[in-house]
Amino acid sequence: MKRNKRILSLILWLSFLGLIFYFSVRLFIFFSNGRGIFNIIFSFLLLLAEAHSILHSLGFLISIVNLKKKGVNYHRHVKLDKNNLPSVTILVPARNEPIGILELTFISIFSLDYSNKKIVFLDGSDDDHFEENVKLANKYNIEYFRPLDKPKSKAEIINKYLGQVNTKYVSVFDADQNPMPSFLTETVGLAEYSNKIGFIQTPQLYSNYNVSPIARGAALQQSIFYENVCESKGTSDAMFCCGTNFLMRVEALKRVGGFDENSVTEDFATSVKIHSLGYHSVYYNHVRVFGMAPETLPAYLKQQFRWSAGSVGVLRKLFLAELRGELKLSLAQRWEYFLSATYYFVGWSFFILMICPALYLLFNVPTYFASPYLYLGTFIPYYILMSITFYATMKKRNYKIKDVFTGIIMGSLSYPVLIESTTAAILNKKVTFQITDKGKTGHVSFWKLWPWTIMIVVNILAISSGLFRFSENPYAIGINIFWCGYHSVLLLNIFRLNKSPKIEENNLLKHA
Amino acid sequence: MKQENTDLVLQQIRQARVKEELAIPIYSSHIRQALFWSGLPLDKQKKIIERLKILEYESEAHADMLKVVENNYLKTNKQYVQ
Repeated sequence: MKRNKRILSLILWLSFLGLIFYFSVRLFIFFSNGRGIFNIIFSFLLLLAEAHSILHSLGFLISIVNLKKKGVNYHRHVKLDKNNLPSVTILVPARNEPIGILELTFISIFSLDYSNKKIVFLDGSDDDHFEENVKLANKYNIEYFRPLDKPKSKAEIINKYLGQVNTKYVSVFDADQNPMPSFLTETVGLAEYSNKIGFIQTPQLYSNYNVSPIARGAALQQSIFYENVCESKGTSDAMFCCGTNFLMRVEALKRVGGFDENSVTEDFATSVKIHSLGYHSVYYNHVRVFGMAPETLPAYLKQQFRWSAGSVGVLRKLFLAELRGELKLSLAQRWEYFLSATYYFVGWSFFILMICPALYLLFNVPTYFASPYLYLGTFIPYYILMSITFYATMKKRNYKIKDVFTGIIMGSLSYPVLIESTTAAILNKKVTFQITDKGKTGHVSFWKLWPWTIMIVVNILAISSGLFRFSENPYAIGINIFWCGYHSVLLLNIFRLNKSPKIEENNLLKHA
Repeated sequence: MKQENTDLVLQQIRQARVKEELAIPIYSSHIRQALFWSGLPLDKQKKIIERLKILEYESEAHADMLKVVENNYLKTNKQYVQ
């Protein structure tokens, strides 16, 4: 055990060195690279893409060091007096959710082992859902709230009700989240430790992973995020609210004026404000809530679109607030927020990293690719060491390499959506995401998959061109053919994943 | 006072019934699925699933019992029930 730890530490430090060495060489190559406008443009774009990847690799390595050094910080809690529990309002905002899904959530919340709670169903659904939703709320003795004007967002409906909240804490659950009985006793116990704790975030675990490959991939991605990434944010007091499965101090929420209605990721934007007021956040890495992953490709892409547009939108706001000197965050919090807000540029990064090998094979641009020795001596050690560190960390938490790879495939496939959403967010444009044909929600039509299809065709053309002139520079061309092949295989997964899920009888619904 | 107490007792019985009858199967089903992430060997996972089934079965029995308790309570406190 000790030996394994030492080996992991060694790999970790080697990864740091590999990363620094690779980036230094890349900078040197960029400045001493060949001429030509296209060459300069693509070399610069490639450098930016690699810088993004290196930045986030660095963030990951720092998170591992953080966790090794500080450990997790949720051991401080207060034993609650069962006869004098702090009051909690539980909010369930929903919009046109299937009644069966809602009922499972209501049963779970109704059964929470916490007597001093009030449950409120915030209904933003269309009129045709009204009757059955009221009936369901009454069945479980849940207060029903429906604003006169139809709310445009989750933040808006919560804020509309917030004036009526007079409890110490508020807890929010999305309509498809089922908490376990001890959720409130544990989180309130943590929040009671200090009145400077603004909110407690818990992970969400998707338990419908076997419904479709999309659900499985999304569940894996989510789990990876809720492990190292969030635990590290927790140690830096920079864990942000994820919009569901959290407990928040009402005073803190009211002081920031409720949830930020100008952001599609209201939770993320509100967290920055709460931290800026000097409140702390706690990440409690114990699964106390089970939820549902998006089951279809359109649902998954829509989720990615929303998260990325929201995060990058917050980055813009953070930048402006920093310029005005309004951002009162610690250095560690700034770093963590910067990492989270820039993560979704991964779509651009992946696109550039994918197009460059193809451009080299087709047009000899960028010329840097013509020097395979530098590439082999710097990129390969960095890539291998980073991969080992990543997989070793995941293996320690019982993830299989195959599963982690599934998560990576899903992340890579989102690139056209991420490009669209981040561009809209930078330009401060409100764009809604629509990829399915009207009336069809299960899968995306073949023609709407054109960004992936075109990229596959480009890669195949590049591979053919490379094979024709292989003898010119076998090492360089060989490596780039390999990358084009790898990217094509990765992209072909879009057709495998674009299937409607198997409709199986849901055991849970049967019980409800 | 008696009226209030009756309501409270009935509410608690009802809450217990919802938990035994409806919530336990939800928890149990989620935990069964979550075993996938546990990294436990398959034979151990199977054992856990078996135990979960036993607990679910017991919960059904508890729910039936609570139903009897509720009915008896309602009969004996008829005058206080609204």
